[in-house]
Amino acid sequence: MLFNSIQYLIFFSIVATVYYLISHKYRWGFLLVSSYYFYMCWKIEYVFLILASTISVYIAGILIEKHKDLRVKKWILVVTLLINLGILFVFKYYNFFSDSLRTALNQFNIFYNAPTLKLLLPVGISFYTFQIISYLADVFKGTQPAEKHFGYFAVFVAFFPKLISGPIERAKNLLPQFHEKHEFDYRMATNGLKLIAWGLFQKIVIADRLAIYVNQVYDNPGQYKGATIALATVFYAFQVYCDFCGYSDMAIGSGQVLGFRLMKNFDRPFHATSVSEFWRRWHISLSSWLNDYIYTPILINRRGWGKVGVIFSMFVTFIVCGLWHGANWTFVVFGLMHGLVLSIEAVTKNSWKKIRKAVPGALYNSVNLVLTFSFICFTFLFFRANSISDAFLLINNMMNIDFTNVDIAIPQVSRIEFLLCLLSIAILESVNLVQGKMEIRDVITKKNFLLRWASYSIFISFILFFRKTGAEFIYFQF
Amino acid sequence: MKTVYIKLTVLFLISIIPVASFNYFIDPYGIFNNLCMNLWYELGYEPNQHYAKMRHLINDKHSWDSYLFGASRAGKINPDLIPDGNYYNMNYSEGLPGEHLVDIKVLLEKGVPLKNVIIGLDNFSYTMRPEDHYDQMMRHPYDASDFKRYIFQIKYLYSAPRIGIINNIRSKDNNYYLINFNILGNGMQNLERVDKKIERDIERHIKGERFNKANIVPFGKELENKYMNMMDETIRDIVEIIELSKKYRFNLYFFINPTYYKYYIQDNPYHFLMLKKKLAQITNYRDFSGFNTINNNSYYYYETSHYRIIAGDLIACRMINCANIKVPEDFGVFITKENVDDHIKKQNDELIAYKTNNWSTIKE
Repeated sequence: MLFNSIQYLIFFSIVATVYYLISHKYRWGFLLVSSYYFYMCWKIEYVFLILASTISVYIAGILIEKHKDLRVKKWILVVTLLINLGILFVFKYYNFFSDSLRTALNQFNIFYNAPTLKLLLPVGISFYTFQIISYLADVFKGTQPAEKHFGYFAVFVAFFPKLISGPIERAKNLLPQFHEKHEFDYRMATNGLKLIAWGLFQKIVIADRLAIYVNQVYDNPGQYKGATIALATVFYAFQVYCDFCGYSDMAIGSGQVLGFRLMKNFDRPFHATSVSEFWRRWHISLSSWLNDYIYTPILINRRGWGKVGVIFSMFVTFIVCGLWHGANWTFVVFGLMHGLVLSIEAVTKNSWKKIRKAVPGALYNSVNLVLTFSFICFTFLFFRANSISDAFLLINNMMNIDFTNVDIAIPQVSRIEFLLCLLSIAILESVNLVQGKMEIRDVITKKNFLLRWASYSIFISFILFFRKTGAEFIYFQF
Repeated sequence: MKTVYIKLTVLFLISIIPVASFNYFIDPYGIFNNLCMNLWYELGYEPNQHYAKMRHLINDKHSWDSYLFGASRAGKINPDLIPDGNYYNMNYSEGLPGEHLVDIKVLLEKGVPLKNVIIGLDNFSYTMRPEDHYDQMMRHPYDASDFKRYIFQIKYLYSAPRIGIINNIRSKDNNYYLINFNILGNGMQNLERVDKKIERDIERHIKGERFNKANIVPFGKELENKYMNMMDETIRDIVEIIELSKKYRFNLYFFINPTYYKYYIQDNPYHFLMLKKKLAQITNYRDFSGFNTINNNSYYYYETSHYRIIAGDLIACRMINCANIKVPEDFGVFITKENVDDHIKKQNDELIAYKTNNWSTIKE
């Protein structure tokens, strides 16, 4: 059940109505049943995986809190992490590591034939696994009390708006909200609906439209050259952003209608003037998770190494980040490239400060914005390419520019569609620019009735008129 | 909360007006049969031929009594050439035997006269599911039930508008594959402009890039959801059509559409031979596919999948044994239960010979 489907519209309308009609004490149960139903719409069997993870972490949390002996606590933590990461490994990474090992051993004439598992990747497994890991780690550190009510804990893990593609919520933010009694808040609900509409626009008007151009170029890497590949790569950056940010907005909006405040996941990432700033704006729930549970612990552990410790922590963090996105070497390269540039940024921080003082601010920011965006697009080339060899073929062909014949048109995308691609990106960036200065939703809310309704209906008409249909969300595969 | 629902409903109804108006008045799929319909067809934009043609036949019960069913390939056969009946070319994109069966039942139910039915089969007749067309505006069938049709029309009204149609108006003069679908005529596709273009420079057409490789997806390689083995279901549908022909006493003929030989060899020809063998056990038919004088010559093709109208004329002539046009002997072999094994052996030998002689190209 996709957020951009009629089924979800019906499902969500029923859930929201019933949710506010029933008493608070039954709401967790209703949300849990709804969330499991939502998850079972993909594959019924996989509900047992999420249930197994929920039960194991629920028990582990209580046991960790109960025991005073640090060694016992550690054992419980390690065993529970192994169970949950084991599930993630089997379903997501086993074939990748097995194939890589086979290829490596074949180089030494050692023939290893481990069977390939034909398993369908359970949607959202990386998201909810990371969420329960953070809960467990927080309970272990003593910064989060273990949840005693199994129902509240289960719905915290499976809450449907964020179950499939995040945001990767922290227990500190979300768990207490299930205990609170939510009265229907007109303003919060309508703000949530506006966010859903904006998310829908990003997904079905922009991302799905750009996908046609991008898929054609990236699925036929030998066919295109120079400007076409460069443009497809820029389009892909916007596609993946609109796809994921659109999903996150719909998730946050759905949560808001039900009275929940989910964490912000994107903050105009293409306006970043450095790669580290980009990661503070892009997939915030994941980058802050990586910072809190991987980067910082390793850095503390290796504090004696000085700058080498920073570089080491950065590389480990971004290899995990790459692999989190998918079991493919393209994602590892994506992570390594980010790790490398972030290490350089961290090590040369003082030099950058000096340059910043010497150069006019606007010039400095503009140059850095362009450089950062170019780097991000370049790394997205690896992110999107079907294989490493495809990525290098694309880079090679991209360098092959014929300035006498710069033709970016492809037969699969008509001129009108192409213009719509550019127009929709322009609308997105204009809104992002304004959004940086003021909250657009509040501005519209303050306008008179006629203007407000006209702007809502024009916007919805625009979505309905220029929508593309049928594509799944990119981040579902992660 | 009630206020939110009321406001949302009103807002949605207001916002849907532009989309619904576009889909109703411009009607890019020809579902509402409005004034613009023929204009769009002349622009070469393919409507939902299946739906529009069925509606046309049901509304005009007196003009036709015979029907040539098939996919887009069969759209190149001129029904006026076929005697003994007023033929309408009932071709539409990806037409499948299962859909023809339902269409025949609908026509019978609606009292449309049925004297002759010719069905053209294709290599994909047994690799696609008719049910999948229900999700596609361009291929959604015409339901006999009024209620189901209204539901589909409502769905169509708010479906994503086909704005690309505007592009066709702009590129009207440059469109190579400019087709008039001629739904209100005899249903045959009109490709006069393309044919004229080809005849102006035949050599260029024959050596065209489009003939270098087949534009198909290899069976079982990709798009597994779309291409699958539906042979038993297809045979069952054909058996049911044969039973209907006996019950309602209309003449029924089958033939297998030709494709350019490069298309034929790439699309699992061995599997195709199995269909031919099974088909011969239940009915006689003409087989135009495989290696032959016409299929080995790109002059007779627009591209590797679709033969030209001149080839369509040859098919029609071979089917009715006409005397005025000379049809090559090897084009359109008449297959019966008795000669099917020899025919399959011959086609199999030809495939082996082709593979042996072109091994390097095949490996590529």
